[in-house]
Amino acid sequence: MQSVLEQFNYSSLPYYKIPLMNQFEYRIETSVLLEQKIDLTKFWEARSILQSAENSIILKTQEDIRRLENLYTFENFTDIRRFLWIHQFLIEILFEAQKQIIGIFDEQITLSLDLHRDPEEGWDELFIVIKSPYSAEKAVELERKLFEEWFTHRIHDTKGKLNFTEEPL
Amino acid sequence: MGKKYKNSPIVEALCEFQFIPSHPWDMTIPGLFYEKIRNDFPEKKQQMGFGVGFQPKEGVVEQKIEMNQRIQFLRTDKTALVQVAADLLVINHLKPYPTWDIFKPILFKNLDLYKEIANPKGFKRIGLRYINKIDIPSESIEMSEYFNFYPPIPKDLPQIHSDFNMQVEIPYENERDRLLLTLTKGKAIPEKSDIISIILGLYHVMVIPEKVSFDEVEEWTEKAHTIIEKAFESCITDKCRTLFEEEE
Repeated sequence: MQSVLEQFNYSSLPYYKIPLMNQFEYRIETSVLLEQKIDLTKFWEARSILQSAENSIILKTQEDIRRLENLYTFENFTDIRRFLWIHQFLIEILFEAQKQIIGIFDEQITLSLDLHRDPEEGWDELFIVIKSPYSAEKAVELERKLFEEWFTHRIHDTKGKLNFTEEPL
Repeated sequence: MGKKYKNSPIVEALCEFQFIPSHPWDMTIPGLFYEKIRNDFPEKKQQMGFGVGFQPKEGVVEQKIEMNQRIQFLRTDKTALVQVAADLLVINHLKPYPTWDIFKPILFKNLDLYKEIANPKGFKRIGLRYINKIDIPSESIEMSEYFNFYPPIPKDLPQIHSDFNMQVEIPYENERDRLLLTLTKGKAIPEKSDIISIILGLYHVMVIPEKVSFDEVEEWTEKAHTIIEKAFESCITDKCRTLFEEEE
């Protein structure tokens, strides 16, 4: 029998069911043996190797999407990755958004991304969901501040594909 | 001359030149370079890059992290760009990739301009890299039907598997060069839900500094391209080839 590759649909699955190679924890080296290898690689002494930063645009975009997975919880993982791949202009805005949101809401929040779509209307939009511990009044005040101090300057760049909302934690 | 495909799987081709400088990096170089290429690459974009690696120092190997600023100069249609950072020049071509005969002169035109402005001493590293995204319209495939290079699963284990990442380094020219073959599923993001997207990466690198001179670089890239083209055809089967529709 030949080995068979199957396409698994990971949408709506919790984080721990995401392929290992896409999980943040997977990239942290926990093996003592493999860590030691760094000091044992004698052959590198003969030459100076400095691994370059990622020069590929395609691979860097994929890497950026993976980095976003560490900043936001993807509510529908596969769909959001695909959406960001198609609308790559949102990636830079999402990195910026995380900093702006924490600057205004403080670090007691959690951030997630949720994709809303209406196939019949041909409409889809990604939402940053800010889950905060604040009272409704305080949360509305901070949401307005975020809009006025940051989002209003970037709204044109989102091309109608990104918005944000606040929910109680 | 390699095969030509109507639906080429190449999503990106790039050539990178890392230089040994003849003097410390001059921050005015990107600006001077831009003046020379602005007709072809008018759009500018700044990026922060970082490199992580190892470097020998007094008998020990030290980990080194370097931050540097890189500037991207893009064509108006964003299908091609040139990246300049400290002692680094990268020329990228995204989809639709033209042909080697069109891509190659772009590389050397930019390399010549860089040399003229920055006056580097030599090459620290040269890399030619092709990234192929192979979209197979199916939810399940037998790997051997599409690839000659794939992870073999021992027969005592379940034969159905999901994402994988496989890399092989093959030395060339007495280890002066290496070909890095990568086949991966899981990192690639399929544009539709009912297809399997697999990335086949082919990366030929000169790893020992100053082993290729400025005079030899054109010959080096030509050979690297031939090796990559041959490796690509060796890694895929005829069934896979039919996905790309070969041109006469």
